Amino acid sequence: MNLELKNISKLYGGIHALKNASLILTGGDVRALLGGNGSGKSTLIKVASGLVKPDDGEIFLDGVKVAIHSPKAAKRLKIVATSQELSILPNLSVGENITLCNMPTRGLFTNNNKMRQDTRRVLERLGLGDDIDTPVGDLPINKMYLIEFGKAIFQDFDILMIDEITSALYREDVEIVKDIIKQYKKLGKIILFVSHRMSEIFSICDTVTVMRSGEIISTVALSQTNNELLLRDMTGKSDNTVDSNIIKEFQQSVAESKKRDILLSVKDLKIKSYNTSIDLDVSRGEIVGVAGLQGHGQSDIVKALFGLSDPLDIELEGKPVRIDNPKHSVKQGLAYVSGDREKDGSFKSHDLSENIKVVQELVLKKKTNALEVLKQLSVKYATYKQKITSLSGGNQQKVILGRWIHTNPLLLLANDPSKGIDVKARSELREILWELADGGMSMIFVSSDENELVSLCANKKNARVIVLYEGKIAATLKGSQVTRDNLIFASLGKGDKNE
Amino acid sequence: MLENQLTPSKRSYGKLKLMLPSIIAIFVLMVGGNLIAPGFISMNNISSILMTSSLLALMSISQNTVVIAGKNGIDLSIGATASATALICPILPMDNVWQLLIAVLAALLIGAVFGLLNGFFISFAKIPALIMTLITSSVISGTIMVLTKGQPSAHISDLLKSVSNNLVPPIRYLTLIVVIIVVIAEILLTKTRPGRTLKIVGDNFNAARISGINVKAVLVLSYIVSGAVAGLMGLLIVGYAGSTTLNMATSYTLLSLAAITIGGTSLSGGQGSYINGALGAIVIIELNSILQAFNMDQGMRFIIQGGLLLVIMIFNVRGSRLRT
Amino acid sequence: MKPIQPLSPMRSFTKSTSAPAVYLFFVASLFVAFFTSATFDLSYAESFMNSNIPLICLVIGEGLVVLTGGIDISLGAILSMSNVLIVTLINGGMPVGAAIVVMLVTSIVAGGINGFMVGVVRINPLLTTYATSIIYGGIALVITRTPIFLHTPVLSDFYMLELLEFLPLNLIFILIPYAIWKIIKRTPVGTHLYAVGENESSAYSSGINVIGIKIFVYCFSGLTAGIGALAITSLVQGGNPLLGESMSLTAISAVVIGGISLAGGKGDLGGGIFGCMFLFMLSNIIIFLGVNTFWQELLKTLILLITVVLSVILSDKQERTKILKGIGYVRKPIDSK
Repeated sequence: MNLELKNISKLYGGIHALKNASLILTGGDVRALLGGNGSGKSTLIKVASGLVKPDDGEIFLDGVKVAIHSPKAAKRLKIVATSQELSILPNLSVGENITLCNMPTRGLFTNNNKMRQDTRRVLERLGLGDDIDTPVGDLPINKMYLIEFGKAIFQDFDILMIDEITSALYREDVEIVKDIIKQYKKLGKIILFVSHRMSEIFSICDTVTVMRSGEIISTVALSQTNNELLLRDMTGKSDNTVDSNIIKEFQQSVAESKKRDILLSVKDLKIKSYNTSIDLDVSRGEIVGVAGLQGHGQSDIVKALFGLSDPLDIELEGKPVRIDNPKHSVKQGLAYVSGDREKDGSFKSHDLSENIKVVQELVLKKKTNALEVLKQLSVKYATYKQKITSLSGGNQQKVILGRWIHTNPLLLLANDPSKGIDVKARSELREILWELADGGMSMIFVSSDENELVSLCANKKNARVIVLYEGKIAATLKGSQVTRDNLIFASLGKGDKNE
Repeated sequence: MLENQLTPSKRSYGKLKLMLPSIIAIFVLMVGGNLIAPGFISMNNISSILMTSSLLALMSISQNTVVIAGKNGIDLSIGATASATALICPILPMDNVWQLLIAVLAALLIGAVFGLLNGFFISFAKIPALIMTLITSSVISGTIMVLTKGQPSAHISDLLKSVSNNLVPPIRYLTLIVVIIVVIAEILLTKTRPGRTLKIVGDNFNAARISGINVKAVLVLSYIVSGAVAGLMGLLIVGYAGSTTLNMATSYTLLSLAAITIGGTSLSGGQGSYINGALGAIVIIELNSILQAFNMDQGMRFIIQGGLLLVIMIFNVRGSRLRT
Repeated sequence: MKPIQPLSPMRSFTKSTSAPAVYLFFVASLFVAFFTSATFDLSYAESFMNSNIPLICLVIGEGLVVLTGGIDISLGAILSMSNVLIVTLINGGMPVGAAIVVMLVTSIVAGGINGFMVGVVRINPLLTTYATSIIYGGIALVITRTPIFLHTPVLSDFYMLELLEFLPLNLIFILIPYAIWKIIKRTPVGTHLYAVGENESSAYSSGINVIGIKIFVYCFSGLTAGIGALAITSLVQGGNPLLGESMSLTAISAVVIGGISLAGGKGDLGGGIFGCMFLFMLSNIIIFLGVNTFWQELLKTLILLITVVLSVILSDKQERTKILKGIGYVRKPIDSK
């Protein structure tokens, strides 16, 4: 069985989202789809699953040309895809969501008993218990992504395309997904798997296709390649300064100070999701990484400090301050950047200039030069009049970061800001953050990616990583202690099972 | 980085693009109207069209403000507000400029109070704007009925009526006043902090809140402004008509929606222009006027009005495709 | 054997979205029964329902449209148009049965045009139905500029028929659309409807025929407007081109009070029916209180405001917990892990 995508092209307002992309997928071969943001991975999947209409190209299923006019048509051809933005419906129950694409019927009517049986079976495979009637919106994010996956596997498919669901999953969940994929591989199904995590790709998949700027660059067996080669194809650069150039000069340039210059001190910061509280100190120019399994309270910290939660009393520069809402925080010199651009960051109907000026001009009432900011951050753009959505994800995030950092905040609160951003853009962001810390800006950086935290904080005099477990600080790691293994170990809670 | 400086002509290009359809429509309708009913392009007719368009343009400012502010903002109570001030304000003496000014302030204040009512419930109690302003509309009409016992004032001051006087035909004072208001409003919207904040809030409510903007206050203010301008319109419509009647301005509510739509404002918020809204108002009034020239009975006129509206919307207001 | 549990968003009655409307209706009824001069007997209930049925029909249609995330302000106009159409047809000699069919087809087509504009051409529903309300109102005026009378009593005779001396047959006007809804709710289409109302793109990704559903709900609402027209024709024994003007907006209020969210994806049509009956009972209260006519309108709308605000606040889980916490009744937080 095979699926062939031939010369698929798609233009969005003059920009090639896909350019003559050709790909052949065969049954029994788990194919990884790798590429930076804007490389076209999602668009390609959407073309094959009927969500996007290609401007050019053909699709062949087992040698026969097919037309995929809608998601319904794709499903009729047994092509199923998960969605990065989640296609599950929060108000509907778990059972309704999982069986939505193919509800069991008795005549015209929905067969509720069979629906519950089917749902139970899927939930068992996913290790999700018996929760059939809960509205999906009440569940934590990782379970939502598992339900999205469950919805896909409930359908009768020959081709399954998984678009980035693992970044929201716990380690155990990923293992479950991996096992299920292996089962389908044995049945000879075609599987396409998108992830930013190299380790997952190497352990789950057999072959890998790399995309860049809408084009297919290469397809190789994973046994024949390695990180560096893949990175080279992804970025198009032969010399990779990404993961190898972690330790730079400025760990020396940060002077050893006798007395810690504490910028912010907070006692009894409530972690809402666990009903616990923590104490936290941040020094001037310090980078505090926050690690832990997803949803163990990390984002509660930065949200509470920024006033997005209940009122909070803190000590800022030695003076007691009460943070009630974001307006207060901004006026006090705090900044907040999140990885969810769509909800928290981008003003889609406005241009780059206005997107940058929002905080400085409208809230802090100071004049600013947007072009300067764009230049400082090396944002790739054509004209400042263009809409922010026309930039790649990494560049969009730079613009949003720029909006905040040129207000010269005392403390930058980052809530997983590099989510869904490709490796190169991430390393550029890291460089920017190091420079800022050097200049005296403190930051609290929450991340769900241990590798990123290691790259950011390992072996640096002005950085430390706190690891949260169930709403409490399980460990604080500094300098050479900041390693992936240590972080993972600590994130499981001291002396926990799962080893 | 290819382009850092932009020439002035390019800067206004975006806005011009949106103005173009309306401007073209205005002239096409002018010419077409004259062909259908010779004498259409006459001082009298143009003057009267401009007057009604000015009134509608004011209402479009109200509607535009709440729509641009986002969160599915809409104000279905502006007609009632205007009708209310049309009934109440003439009670005040308006025999000299100072008294007139006080009447204007009263109209603005009354409208602002109604707007505050809307804004409070929509912003803080999270009542959907559609239903809230619908109900407010009834509350306002009901209140006015009780206050005036259904008796409109008999006497309208001459000073107020003088807005209908000619400045330079076909432009009358009312038109001039409205043009000035529209221009000032546009400048406020695009160049000042409050205006830019309004558009930002409409674009992304949550991101605006995170950026430190007091988003709830912005929403409330948008309804206060909407109400105030509608209140002013009520005063002016009395000056135009020369007398007051019950529910004088209610038809303007839904017309204002059509006007801002033609003017390119999206109902989902974040962008829009008062000048374009005013142009859209002219297009609508012209359409109306042409249809009246046909001398057909009311029913036929409605059918064509509605049909034309639908056609315009086909070109202007389409949502995004399911499959892109 | 375990009873079949419906999986739809309405589980137990007390937690359901329709509950507030039902409570409101009963409170209002009790008020009328005990505090006003009205005699609360069977004939009162009958005349209450008789005049209320047309509006209830509209509410059922409007509710379905709102459930899928849309809105329809043209239903009153469709009702007016259908009303004068059937009177003209019957007066013109067409047999009653045929006239009814023609009228219903017309109203369905009118709704279908709305559905086409919203679903296929993708114009905003509010603007679309605003434009079509003008068109359909215009058609009504073209058919007749002034109110006309129905020459035969066939329809009104039917309207007043009773089964077994006390069960009014005209309830069928509401029962048929409501039954259709109940049936749909038990099929996958029911779940699809809620899905479309909640998030169109997610529904589309899930293979749901979004356009088809949209056209269907607008056709359905057109049909209910036609049925309502039939009811009103029977009731007033005539036709009036301006009849339905304010009805669309009242229908929307009833829908909101009934717990159907204007955003779509939440609620049940039953709530809308009770919301409508509550509004009607409210009018009765005000009339029976013997209040000055000028105060009537104001009082009615003030109470409408309060009930809608309460309805919206109580249906939002967050707001509800805030208020409950405020008055001291605190629930244990749900363990979401």
